[in-house]
Amino acid sequence: MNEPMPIPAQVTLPWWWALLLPLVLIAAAWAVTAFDAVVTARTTGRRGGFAVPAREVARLLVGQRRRTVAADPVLWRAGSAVLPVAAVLAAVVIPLGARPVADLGIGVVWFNAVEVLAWAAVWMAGWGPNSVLSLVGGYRFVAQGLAYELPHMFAIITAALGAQSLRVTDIVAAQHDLWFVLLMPVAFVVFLISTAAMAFWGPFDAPVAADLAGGAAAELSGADRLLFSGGRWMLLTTAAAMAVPLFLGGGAGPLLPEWAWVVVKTAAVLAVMVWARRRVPRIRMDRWTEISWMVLVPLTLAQALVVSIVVLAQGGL
Amino acid sequence: MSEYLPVLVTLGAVLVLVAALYVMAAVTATARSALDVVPFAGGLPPAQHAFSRFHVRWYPVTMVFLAFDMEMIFMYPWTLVVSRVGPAAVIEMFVFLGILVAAVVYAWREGALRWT
Amino acid sequence: MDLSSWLRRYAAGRPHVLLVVSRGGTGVRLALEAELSRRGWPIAAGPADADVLLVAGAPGPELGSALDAVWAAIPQPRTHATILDAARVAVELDRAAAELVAGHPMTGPLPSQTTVDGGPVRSGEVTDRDDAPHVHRSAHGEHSDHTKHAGHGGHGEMRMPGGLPMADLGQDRDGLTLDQLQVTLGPVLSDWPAGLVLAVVLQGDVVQRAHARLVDDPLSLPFWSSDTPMTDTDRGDAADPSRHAAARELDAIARFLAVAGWPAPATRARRLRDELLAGASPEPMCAAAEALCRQVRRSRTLRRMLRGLPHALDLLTVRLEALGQAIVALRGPAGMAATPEERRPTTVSAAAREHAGSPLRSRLNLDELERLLVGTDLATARLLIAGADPITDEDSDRTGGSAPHAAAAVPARRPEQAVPVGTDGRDGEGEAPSAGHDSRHSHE
Repeated sequence: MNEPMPIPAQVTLPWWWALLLPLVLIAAAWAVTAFDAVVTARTTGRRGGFAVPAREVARLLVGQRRRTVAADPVLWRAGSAVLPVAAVLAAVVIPLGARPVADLGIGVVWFNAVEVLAWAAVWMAGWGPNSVLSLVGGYRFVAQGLAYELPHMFAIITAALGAQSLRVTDIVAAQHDLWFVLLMPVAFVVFLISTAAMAFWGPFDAPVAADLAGGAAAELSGADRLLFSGGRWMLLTTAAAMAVPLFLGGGAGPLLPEWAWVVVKTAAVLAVMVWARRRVPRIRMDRWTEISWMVLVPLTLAQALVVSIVVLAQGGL
Repeated sequence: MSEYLPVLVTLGAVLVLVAALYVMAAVTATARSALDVVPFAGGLPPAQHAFSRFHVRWYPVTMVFLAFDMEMIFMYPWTLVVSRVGPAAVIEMFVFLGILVAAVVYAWREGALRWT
Repeated sequence: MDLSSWLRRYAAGRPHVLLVVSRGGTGVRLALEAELSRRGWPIAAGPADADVLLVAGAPGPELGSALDAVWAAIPQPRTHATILDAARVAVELDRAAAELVAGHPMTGPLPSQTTVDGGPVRSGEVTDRDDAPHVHRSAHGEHSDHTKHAGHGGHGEMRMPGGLPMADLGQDRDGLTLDQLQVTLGPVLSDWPAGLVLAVVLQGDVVQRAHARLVDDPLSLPFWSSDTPMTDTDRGDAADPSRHAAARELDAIARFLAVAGWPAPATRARRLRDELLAGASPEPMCAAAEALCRQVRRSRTLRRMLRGLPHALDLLTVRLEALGQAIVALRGPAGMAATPEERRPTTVSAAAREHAGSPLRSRLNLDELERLLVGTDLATARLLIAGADPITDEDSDRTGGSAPHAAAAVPARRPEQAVPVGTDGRDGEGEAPSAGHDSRHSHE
């Protein structure tokens, strides 16, 4: 029903949006950081917190960089830099309003492929400094990837299956009548969980946890640390924003323009993430792997089966 | 291929930004040269290099994962043809997935998904 | 240059603090944590993320040399302060922020040069572990073999590209021959018992052998268990020992929750602790602490994560019940119904409850702790250390209640096959100890 079509000129944003995209993402990640800091301040009975991202950036900009004994500098520095790059590259397929920066025919695969770079990035940052604690942190993230990635991919592919297209704008268009969050709630929930795991966020922050003195980030300071932690916030923002075109109908909504709905829905998803981090204690991967493979994978597969039957029924069979 | 042009522009932009950040940090940093340190594990000096053959206790999970990861290569194109090919496509794919899940259940019973 | 100093000034509004607690520094630590939380200054997990090195209490020579090494690993701009008196906390924090704004490379004295016995510690020297006064045995031959010769590069001589040996091969608990890494954890770690040094042999992240000891800090009156709890007078009716005991248990449960990665209730427990010590009225505190206990007890996620880890659930239960008891004592008639035993949960009979017919102390000593750690991964080890909450500010051989039968309270470590433990499960039947366990004993 949705044959691959030649791309109309209006499908993508004007080319200069490609230059703007990193800045948009930085601004969004900045806002999330500030929001999280405000919530943290509230829970400790203080006010404010809005200035926290600015102060952190300033602190890391004046901070000295470090070099550990017999480190592997290439892997180490690359690990920090890859995180923000991956976050921005994954964001090119997300419609900012009606149109994305690049409307790739295999947009969903692109998103998936680029965000997996986080896997390599965290491990490299953990391995690089020749430090036991960060090495353990890096390996924790590899184990985490093995647990979250399959349910994540099945959740994404279920959305693609519902639209019978790998193009993100087609997936949005296919939700014209019914948002996929209603058609495939399991896939949506699994997507949110695995998003947190991919951004090593909230209960899935074991790779950078304080019990390893910062884990994979333990030896990072100055600009390297800014790239790593900034990249992590950007990755979280990108992945949360991807939930909007995949499950929440993209820019669809009354009154407001499409871009505003994208912002509102992304903010709602991120608010859930910020809330969940405080709600749930840290997830250990030696427990989660079992849950992920024995519960989430079958659930997402069942969800995919239901959706494919719906697709067949809509196809007139 | 032209649809990837914006991606390349974005990549260029973000790389320029990363480089700009490093330049900026070099200007604003309180100390220009990097600080040479020993790895931290609580304040006492390390006795050995941390680079080592790490005991990856979840090694069996990586093997199971690889099988499923290959399966995804079939599943992405499959999503495009479900309604065109009809029920046969769905049945074939889910029989295949069923076999893989059976293997996962076997691996689980063997304790491959648990390591502490 | 102007931009740099402007940024420094702005960043100094929220510096990250690396908090080092000496064995006698608990009182200062509590004052510091309360003040940091009030200011919203985050506590750094390690030197890379720190701007301010704060030492609570007087460090001995050994902690002093570790401090110098940590100081050398903190990127500029940086500053340090040693705080011996809880009343000086706010002053020192203000001074630290001002020094960060100035951004001069610190040329002043090293952190260790404020040790109580005056003389500066020779920089870079690490007290030989087998001669340390608080270690009364050198049973673990592997430590003297491997760790003594290596890594004496303190902050002065960091350039040792090949100065470190690589890890050696060794049998692991799963019957594989893998690299064994000698690692010394502590004494400078967050949510870590003051002054604890844990020498471990790691394969991957699994502890194969563990040896715990304490640094040689000068000791004063133990903070928690002394009969005159508060030395500073500005803390309300702090002489009430049951209030003191409740604060202590809140502190312990907060540490466990922080290590378990559940910051929200950990923060709440610390706030309750601070308010209790500051003299808040007990009744709302008791209600809040009970609500906290309930939340932790009911968390299915936490239970699911801890289940099957050797002793983690048991220790959490011990912590929760010790807190529950302290609340009952605090709430009791006139708040003073506490018997002397309940005020001093350090002795074998104290803070103790009848559990499966055997007396269970609420704190483990280092011997017991070592035994628990063998065969666990680092994350579990951190949890067990936090849950065991060993007493480190008292002057006894292997601190924490040195009753000869103490080991009986801790069942032998379970082998690794996931033995599901019930919620209060203490199945102490003697399963065969694992390979890791064996190899440890073979050294004794």
